Amino acid sequence: MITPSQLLLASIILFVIWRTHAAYKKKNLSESFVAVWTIFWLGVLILVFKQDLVSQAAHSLGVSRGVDLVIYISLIVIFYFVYKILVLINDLDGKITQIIRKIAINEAKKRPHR
Amino acid sequence: MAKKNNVVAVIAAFNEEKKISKVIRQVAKHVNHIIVVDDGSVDNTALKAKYKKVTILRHIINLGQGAALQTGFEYARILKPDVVITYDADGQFEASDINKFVKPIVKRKADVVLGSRFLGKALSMPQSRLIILKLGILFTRFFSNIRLTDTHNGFRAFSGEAINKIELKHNRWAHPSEIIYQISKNKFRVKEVPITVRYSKYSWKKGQKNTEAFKIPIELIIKALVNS
Repeated sequence: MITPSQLLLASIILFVIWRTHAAYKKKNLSESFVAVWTIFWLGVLILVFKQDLVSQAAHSLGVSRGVDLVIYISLIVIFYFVYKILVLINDLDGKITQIIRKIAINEAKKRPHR
Repeated sequence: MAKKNNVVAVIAAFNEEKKISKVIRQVAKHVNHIIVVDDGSVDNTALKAKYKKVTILRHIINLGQGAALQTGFEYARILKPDVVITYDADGQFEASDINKFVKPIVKRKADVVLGSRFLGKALSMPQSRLIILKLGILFTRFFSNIRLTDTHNGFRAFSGEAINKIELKHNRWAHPSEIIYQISKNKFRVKEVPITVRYSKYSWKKGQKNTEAFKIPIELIIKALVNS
């Protein structure tokens, strides 16, 4: 039997997949990203309806409930993404600084009376 | 002493049109060249900084004091300096103290000279700033293993060789700590000299806020994490 929570989760997942494909059509996303993202969410969709699979995985890893395993994995993934974003921002910050510095020094070099 | 040796002052300035002109005139008496890094000011800082001996470098957007100093250092290297002084644009320091910084470097007794308001005088310093600065000294001592009496002070001097090795990656408030770490890493010989720092309503308004000091450890940790 399908529960209301399963229906809600399935609707959210389908919405995410729909938005991803809409963005792809507008050429905002790459083909490979859309493929990986869609497969990931379809996988989550399957697990929503086959919750015994999650419970089995949780038990085999020594976690009592399937939902706990999902939360643990989600936290690890979120931390990883936050870290990657920090690295990216740091990298961009460094590049912007270098560009602005180069412009400042080159402009000063060009001036006849420094 | 400044005239015989090539002494270059680097002044990072952000919206300092009220003070920069006076500061430059005072500093110019003691150095051979001044580099003013206008860090994306939206007022007439660059215009007011025009003076003999002065090169103005303009950041098209505001990056922060650390980034502005590094830009100044990179330009200073072109001038083949004997000594590079860093000096604040808000008029807190006394330019007559510059000779105290130049002397140990040209006599080859130090690679880096740091100003200390606690060896000298800190006039009209609010009590809250004193506490923050003392915490900063303990924090920096713990991580850099260098015992200093003042760590977050913008009045410094570097030898020509030392300035070639300083590479600031922290654009904003953490750069004074970064300078101390780089001194420690490069095993530079350090000397502290007493200076006078004069707090005014203007410098208090322009300078770092006490609350911003707490961002420094966070900035340092994040940078250490992403660069590891």
